Amino acid sequence: MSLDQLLEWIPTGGAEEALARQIEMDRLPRHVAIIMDGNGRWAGQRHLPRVEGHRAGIDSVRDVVETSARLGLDVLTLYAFSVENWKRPATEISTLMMLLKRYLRLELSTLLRNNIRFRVIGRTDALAPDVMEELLAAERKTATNTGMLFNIALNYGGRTEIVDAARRAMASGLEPQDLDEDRFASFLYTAGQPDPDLLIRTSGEMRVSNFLLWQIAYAEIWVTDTLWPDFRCRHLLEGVLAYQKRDRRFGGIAAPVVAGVK
Amino acid sequence: MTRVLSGVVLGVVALGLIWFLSSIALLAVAMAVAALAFIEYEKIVDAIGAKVPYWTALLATLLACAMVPFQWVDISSVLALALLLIALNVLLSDRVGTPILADTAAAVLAPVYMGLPLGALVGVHAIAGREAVLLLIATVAVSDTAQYYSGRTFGRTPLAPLRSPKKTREGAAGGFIVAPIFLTVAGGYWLPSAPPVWLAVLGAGIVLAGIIGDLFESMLKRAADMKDSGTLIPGHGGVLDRIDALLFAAPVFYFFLRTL
Repeated sequence: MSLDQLLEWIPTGGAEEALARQIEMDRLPRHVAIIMDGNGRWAGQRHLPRVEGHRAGIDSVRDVVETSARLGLDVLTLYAFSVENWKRPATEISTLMMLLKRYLRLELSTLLRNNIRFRVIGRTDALAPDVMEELLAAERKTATNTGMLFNIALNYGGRTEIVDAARRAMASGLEPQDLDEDRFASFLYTAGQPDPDLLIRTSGEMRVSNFLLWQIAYAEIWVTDTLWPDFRCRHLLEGVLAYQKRDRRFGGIAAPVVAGVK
Repeated sequence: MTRVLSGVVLGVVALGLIWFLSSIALLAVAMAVAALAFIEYEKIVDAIGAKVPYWTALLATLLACAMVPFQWVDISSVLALALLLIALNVLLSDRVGTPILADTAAAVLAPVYMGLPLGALVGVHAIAGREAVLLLIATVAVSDTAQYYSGRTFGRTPLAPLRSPKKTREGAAGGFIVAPIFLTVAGGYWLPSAPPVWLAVLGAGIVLAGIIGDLFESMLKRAADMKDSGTLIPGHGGVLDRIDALLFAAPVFYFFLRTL
């Protein structure tokens, strides 16, 4: 995927095109992770029940998934449902699950057309069987795709993931001295995937909310006030541009800009 | 001249309200329109020979309209309450025999026919924005216009001679061709998340619903031996005459948005 593929999809002459043309395509983040926040607030502003916000948020998911694939990201991870979200009202949870199933059914063709591989991360065994079936079917049908990997975090918790990884490491019979960071990462749900370079959070909250705790060690964090149902291609491109302006040092010092200046 | 002028004024006012009002404020407008439509409906029903319990049926219509867009109360509960009150009113009346069923049915029809659709229109405003409402209204208008002109040019075969002598199959076909194309193109800008094929299907659904709505209102007026539903809009007849197609098309559009 490339700039051309993005340009043929977005309206010509619009804000999206101007943003897309500023992006340095050889310095894209490999992995973008997004905390989709603000559905409830979006609905509240319109005096609608919270579930209408989730419904509206589906449009944003569609837009962001296709934008990411066309832009050429390696991995996109969306935080859909956390291990703590079971505290919400039962009707809201069942609507969320219904929307998820419908999304998968309706969007499978988009995933296939864009060569996207779909995966679920989280404690999926706690999900309802009908939801699980739909998720597995989508994983199976997209398994041979070679383009962007699209992770959806469901019943996900960062600490839960680390605990699960530790359990797997212990169960594998690994000796304590043989465990290092790389080895440990291979027990995480995201084994084999690059760590997120860019973590986006919508709705203006400055929190990590137990998302990919291990993996975001060096991620650049970009927070936008835009609520998730209003988040579109344009906002994702803004996030990527903001990321490209950051100075990533990974704990080192900045490289001299021009040799011989000092 | 009156007709053109009042049409333009009405159109500008309606567009202005939809564009500048919040969804909540628009609900108040929709309820006012529902009340005006109800007043005309009650006269039609009266002329046909049924008697609706006036205040109860009006209240039911307004409640049904108010409870759709923001889902404050489950709509089935509203309709159950409406039926309860209407049945009580009919029980207390001095009418006997066949008219009892006509009275009850005509009263229950009011919230379903006018309340729910006008509520759905506000619902479209709340969940998809003012552009979506205008898109719906434009599609209905394009469908009406296409039917009118293709009917005038090619019209040979009556569509429903018993209900409306002027409508032709050729006119309907014009609506079914032009409106889906319009919605597919315009929807590409205003409802970008909807795939073109779906927009075309939705367009056909709106045309069909609009034709049924149009014929249904004509049928009521014919039964009542009335030419217009009212005289509120100079040169255009009544409120019901203006929104007959929209009343059936709005729920189709609202359902589409919530199912997409």
